[in-house]
Amino acid sequence: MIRRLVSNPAALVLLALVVLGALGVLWGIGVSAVDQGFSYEGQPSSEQLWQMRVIRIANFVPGPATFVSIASLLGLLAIASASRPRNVPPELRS
Amino acid sequence: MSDGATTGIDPRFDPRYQRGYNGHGAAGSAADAAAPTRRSVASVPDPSRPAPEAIRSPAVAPDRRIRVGAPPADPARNVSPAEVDTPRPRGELPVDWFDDVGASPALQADHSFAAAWAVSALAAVLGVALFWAGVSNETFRGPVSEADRWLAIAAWNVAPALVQAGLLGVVGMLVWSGVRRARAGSGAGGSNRPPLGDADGGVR
Repeated sequence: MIRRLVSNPAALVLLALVVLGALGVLWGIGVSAVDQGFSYEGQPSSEQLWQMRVIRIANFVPGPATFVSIASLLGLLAIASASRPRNVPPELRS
Repeated sequence: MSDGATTGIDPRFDPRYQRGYNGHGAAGSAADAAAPTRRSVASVPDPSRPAPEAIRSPAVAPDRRIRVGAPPADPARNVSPAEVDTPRPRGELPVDWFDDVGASPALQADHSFAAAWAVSALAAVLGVALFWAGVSNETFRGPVSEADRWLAIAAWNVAPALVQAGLLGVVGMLVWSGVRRARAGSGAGGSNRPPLGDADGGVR
């Protein structure tokens, strides 16, 4: 079954989505957790603007990443279930 | 009666179907004159009699069965591969309800499948683009113009839904493709069929 699963390109893509989703969740939570905000005087610098954008993205990513990761894991299990060799009872064989 | 006895023709039955009938003679002409009446009477089914075996029994050779109303087979007609009922490998369950491996090639070129891929990818890309536009346009002092305000509202309200719906569609399409491929290759004999139609360019 593992061999059939590995030879299935869709299963490999789903596995990659599971890993990427988990990494995205960890990154987003990590960036949001260490964010302590910042202050500025006058016009904010470009670096400060980018820091704000990264924090916005980090706040956005964990939700969809968790969603995609769990959905991909479920899909992977579904493909694994469908990849089992089917044992057909003799009475059903034509 | 005596004439029929001498010629071997039984006058009780149609002489045309009896041995020795040559179409001439008194017995023949008399029998010919009486034959339509006999046939018409004999063709009326008698409900008290059991039906002939050929009608009652379904044990007729399959190649001799006649489909009522079916047009005669034309050997010169080109039979498409989809019409040929290929025998299923022994021990393999029918999977046509779930995938179209055994279906016609026309079904394998599934345009709806490609359209679903396109919609999913488009939603995901559009959501990411909208979110990025909202983020990159954001400043510390809030939206500068009315257009920026609308863009920020769309980015924060619509973009997450677009991204999630698109990604869910992509995952769903991947699962669908993977299950179809797994079902196609997990027969009892473990025969790996070729990847499903790449006519639409989709991963199948």
